[in-house]
Amino acid sequence: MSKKSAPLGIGCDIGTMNIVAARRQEDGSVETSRVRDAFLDLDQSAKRMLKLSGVNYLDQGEDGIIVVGDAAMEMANVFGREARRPLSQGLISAGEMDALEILGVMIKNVLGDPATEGEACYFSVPASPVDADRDVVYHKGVFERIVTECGYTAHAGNEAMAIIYAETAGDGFSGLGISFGSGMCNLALAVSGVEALCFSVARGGDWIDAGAAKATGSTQSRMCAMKETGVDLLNPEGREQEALALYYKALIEYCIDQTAAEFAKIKDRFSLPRPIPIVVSGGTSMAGNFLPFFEEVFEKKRKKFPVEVSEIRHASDPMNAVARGLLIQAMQEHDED
Amino acid sequence: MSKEPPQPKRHLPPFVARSRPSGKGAVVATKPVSTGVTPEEAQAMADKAAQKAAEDAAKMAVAALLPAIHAIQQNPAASAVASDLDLRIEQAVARALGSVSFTGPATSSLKPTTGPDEPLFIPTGIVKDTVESLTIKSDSSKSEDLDGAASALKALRTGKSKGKK
Repeated sequence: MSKKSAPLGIGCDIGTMNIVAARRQEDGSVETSRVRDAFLDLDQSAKRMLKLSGVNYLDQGEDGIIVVGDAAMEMANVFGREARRPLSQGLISAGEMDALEILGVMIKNVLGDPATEGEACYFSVPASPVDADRDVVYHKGVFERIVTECGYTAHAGNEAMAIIYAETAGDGFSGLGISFGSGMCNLALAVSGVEALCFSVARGGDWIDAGAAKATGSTQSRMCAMKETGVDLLNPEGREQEALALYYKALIEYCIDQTAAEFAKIKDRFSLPRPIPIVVSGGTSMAGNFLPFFEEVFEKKRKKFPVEVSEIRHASDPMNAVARGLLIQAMQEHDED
Repeated sequence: MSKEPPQPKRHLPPFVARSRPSGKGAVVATKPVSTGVTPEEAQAMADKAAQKAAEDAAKMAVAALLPAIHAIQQNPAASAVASDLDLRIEQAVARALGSVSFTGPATSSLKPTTGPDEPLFIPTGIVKDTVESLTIKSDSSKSEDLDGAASALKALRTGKSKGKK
């Protein structure tokens, strides 16, 4: 009996906080690989301690050592430092040339070797932010280069549209996908698989952490840790959690308002035949009771929202929805009729 | 109806006064380049003006720093002077550069040197042949939804392409 080979194609979500790759396995399951998009540069003197603790690091010779991924965040706390992030507000900075090689190592590790020469890899690219003077040209070019150098045929795919492909098949690929990321929020409105509206806002989980930290006199990393260990947005306890809930509310309102404003620009040349769902996803949407909290905020704005909404739901796998949507697109590249 | 007394003339801040044609502030802008110059000529003029501006700025910075340098030469042990030298250099250069004005061609046929459509510098060899292994978190999940979505998307795209034919 011949062994069934896994379908070709791989999806890679390159986010400010995590890099996630999704690939089909021979047994039919989907394997996701994740690495934290962070690194920490340390002196050679830290090498001995890292060896003892079994932490992976990149030896840069005289330039010291670099701890990559989750370990970088942990070590940053140990050494009282802030881990460096190659991406800022969802995009790579042209000034972060040092980070390119590290990004190359991280992406090579999550992608692995291609199953065949020139295997298709869809990688996520955010839409241009409507509230910041930044474009995605350089960002897209850098990751196209990295993915190509990993041996794949690189295809850029919009982050929020990937949510549409992964989560709205039952709705005929119609819906409003919102990716609540760490650096930014990406939004896409699609009808029958056609992208009608795509944009991002330069606010996300980091913006919440920074705002709440400033309001309470705390630190951004403490706010981030509190958010990740569990905060109930409907029942915040203490002033720090209340501050987090307040900034979550402000971010959701901002996204809804921006969607309404952007939709107003295209409403004359576009019509929606039926109500569409809103699908929320991303690491920032993992806070406790995020969905009912979102619904509560949305209900107050529903009357003025220009699109009729059938339901609001969470992505089935919020941390991996973008990578899965990109995988679907990559698989299509190898799908022979 | 009584007429209100005339309001006293409002004094404008100096920067507003200078921005008006009748303002008494010193006019620092140079004469704009006349139209009709070729791109090469305009580029040469711009280079010349930039060079002159840089030379002027350097002269002003050196002049501002000379007293401090003399003080160090006369008394090398004067750490108080030397300790804030970095800051003084920075401030002097900033002041010198801030005073430089440069007016480019008012209307130029020059194309912008950079733009979104132009190739950006992206280095090659970002991914090395031998890459260190990192600890990667892996997870496995069912693919029924994914298969369904892939089939539906394929059907949608096939239908659309057939429709176009």
